[in-house]
Amino acid sequence: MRYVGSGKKQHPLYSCMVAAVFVLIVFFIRLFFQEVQGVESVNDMGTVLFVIPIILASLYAGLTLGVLVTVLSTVIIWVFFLPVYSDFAFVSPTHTYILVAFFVQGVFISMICDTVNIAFDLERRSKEELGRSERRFLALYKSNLIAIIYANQKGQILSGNDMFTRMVGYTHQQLAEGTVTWKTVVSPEYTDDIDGVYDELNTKGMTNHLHCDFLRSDGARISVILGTVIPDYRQDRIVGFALDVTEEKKMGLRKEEFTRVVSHELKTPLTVVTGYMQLLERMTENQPDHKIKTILHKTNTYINRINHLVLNLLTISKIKGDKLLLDLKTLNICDIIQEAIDSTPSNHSGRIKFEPCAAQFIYGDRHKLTGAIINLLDNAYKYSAPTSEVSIEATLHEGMIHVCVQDVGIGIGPSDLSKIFDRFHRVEQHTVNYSGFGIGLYITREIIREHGGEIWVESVIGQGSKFTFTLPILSVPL
Amino acid sequence: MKKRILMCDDDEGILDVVNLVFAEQGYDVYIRSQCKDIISIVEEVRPDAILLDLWMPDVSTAELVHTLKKHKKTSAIPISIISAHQDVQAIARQIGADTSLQKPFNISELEKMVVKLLKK
Repeated sequence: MRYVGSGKKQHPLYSCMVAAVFVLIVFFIRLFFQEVQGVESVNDMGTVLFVIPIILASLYAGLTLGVLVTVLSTVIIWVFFLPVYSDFAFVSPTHTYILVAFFVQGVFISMICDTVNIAFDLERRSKEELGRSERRFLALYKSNLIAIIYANQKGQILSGNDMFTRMVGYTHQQLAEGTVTWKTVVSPEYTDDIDGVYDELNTKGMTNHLHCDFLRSDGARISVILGTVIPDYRQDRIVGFALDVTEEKKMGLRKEEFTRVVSHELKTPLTVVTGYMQLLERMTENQPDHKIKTILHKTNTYINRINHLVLNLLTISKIKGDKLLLDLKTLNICDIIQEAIDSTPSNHSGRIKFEPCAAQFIYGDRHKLTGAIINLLDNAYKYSAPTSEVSIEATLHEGMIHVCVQDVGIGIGPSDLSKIFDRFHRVEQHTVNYSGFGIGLYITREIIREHGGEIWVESVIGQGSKFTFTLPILSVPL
Repeated sequence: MKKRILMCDDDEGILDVVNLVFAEQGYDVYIRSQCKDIISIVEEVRPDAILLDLWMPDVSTAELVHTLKKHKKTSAIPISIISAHQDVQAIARQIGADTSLQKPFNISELEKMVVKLLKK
């Protein structure tokens, strides 16, 4: 930080008054000496006395006031303490020299005092800043919102706040004895991670958050997020911050349990209904009544849609945090597209334009890729006129399959294009007229990314949208 | 000789669908909603293939598979795991089953899986 001047920042008028008071005091002292000693002309003692207010003023309020006092003192010496030289010149050449020397000396003294003042000021400010910083840290330390740990480079934990001692079940006394180390409090499976923390600390001075478990002295396990830093003022110390996330972890497990139950409870009855419907279809295959067949077909289509929705919900619950698990097999992308088209509700089936393509093989998850294409087709049906055409094609470019789903619907505005694949994002104008949660395109993007592909959209308002995704092709089918 | 299929699932609906599908095609289908005493059931039924649900009340499917594969008389019988779990394939492999099928499935997928299982 650069300081331009030092001393107390005062109003200029106030500074002038202070300067005047300083000089007047010395003026009267000087007069007193003159009366007592009978000194007629200026001597060393005469100017030396005026140095005192210059020093005081510049120490008190910086260079400006010091110079102001110097000017005033010079004028007073000249007017009151120097004899008149002649009718044409007020000061003799010798006295002119004394006055100039006094003035230069005054300015010089002001500058020195100002520099001294700056040095003291800097020290005072840094002490204040350190004090403030320590008070803030102490407030955090005592607040016990998070556990704070002091350790040394050897891995010994030297002290910690109450939150930390409560968290790990060791007393302050035990910590002070130096017998508690990271290896004592961190669960053994994270030993390598703690070694990594020390390596990172020694290169970067701080670490990224580490998710690990602390082991309490009674053996209980606490899940924490641990961050560490080497403080500037003690390079041999390490300060650790730990946040208890045991409850959050339990919530995560409960969410997984919920997903498992939903998965079981929804999928099992769906399987039964699908089974019965397909059996009925088989039994009525040779029946002349087309009405029954049509109804059964329509019912099957809607069951497929419920299946697809359940799959989407389960997929989204899996995406956050961990990777999607894929059941990878060699697949013909044309079969996958056809399968997605076959799941299309019958009222939209006449709208699809798909030219059967030459077999192109990829390595992917059949259910998830079919789901991704159904999501794109659903989107196209939803945001275009009920009878308008929706086209889908698969082409080969530089070792990648490009699958394009194009509609001539309402299109997407430029401001929404970049967010269209975000989780729960919905175009604002569409929320009133079109149902949905804004998860379909997000899931599609995650599925495509997990397969090593990319997805993007080109769109013009009022003219339609074109979604394209790529997948790496298998040159030799496995 | 008719092929015998044993299906264990706590859901009566699934058992009924499997029964209808395979009985129609000439298999002997044995369905059980409780499979705690799996060895005695298998000894009684002597199936050519076993279909097991992954989650059944009061019994661990992993233990059932382990018991069947360990037992001399039953170790050769192919087992398939049927479940709504997204990672059923990996779980089935992990617990030592021969194949798996994810719910919801089409009848044709079920038929294909059983044909494949019977060839093992």
